Amino acid sequence: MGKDRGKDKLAKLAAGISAIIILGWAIFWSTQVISVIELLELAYG
Amino acid sequence: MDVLFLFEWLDTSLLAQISKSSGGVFAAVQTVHLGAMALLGGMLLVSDLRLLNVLMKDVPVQVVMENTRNWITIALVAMILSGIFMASAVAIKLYYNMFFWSKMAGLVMGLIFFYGIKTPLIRGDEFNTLNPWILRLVAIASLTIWFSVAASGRWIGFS
Repeated sequence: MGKDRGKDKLAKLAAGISAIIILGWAIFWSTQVISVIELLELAYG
Repeated sequence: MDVLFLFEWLDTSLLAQISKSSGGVFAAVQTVHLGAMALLGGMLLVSDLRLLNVLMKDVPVQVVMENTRNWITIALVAMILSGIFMASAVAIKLYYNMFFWSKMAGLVMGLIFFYGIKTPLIRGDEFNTLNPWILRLVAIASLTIWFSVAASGRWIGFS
């Protein structure tokens, strides 16, 4: 019972943190498209 | 807190003397670092793609996770130890490198995510009651974190 509740909390935490990581990553890199292109040109010519 | 003093200490340590003066030793340690990275990447791909139900569908998730976890730990230890040695050769340069800090932030996040969330989530019998979408979300987040660590590491070489 207690174990199940703990697992439920962990599952919610995992889902929340995972969603934040994925969304944060996507939002950050979508604002950096020009910088990434410039960096790639710098790296590979 | 400024940790420049740690990098200054590393820059003048015995490790730095060896890494700066012996190209052969540096190359050997770098080989270990790259080998550990390949091991880590491979094991993470296997475990995360299994969570996403892409590969090894006939093997239970928990079996795959159990078997990859030890190898991931070994790879992380090897990577961190060999990484400290390699960093000692260019410690001050690394301190001022943005991508190095990006890599370290990603590494810390990856360690917390792996040992604090992913591993305990999959352990135990209650695992079977979890929503599969939560597992998929965890797998994508894990791949995102470790991809960022690898990309930042590669970018240290370009900068």
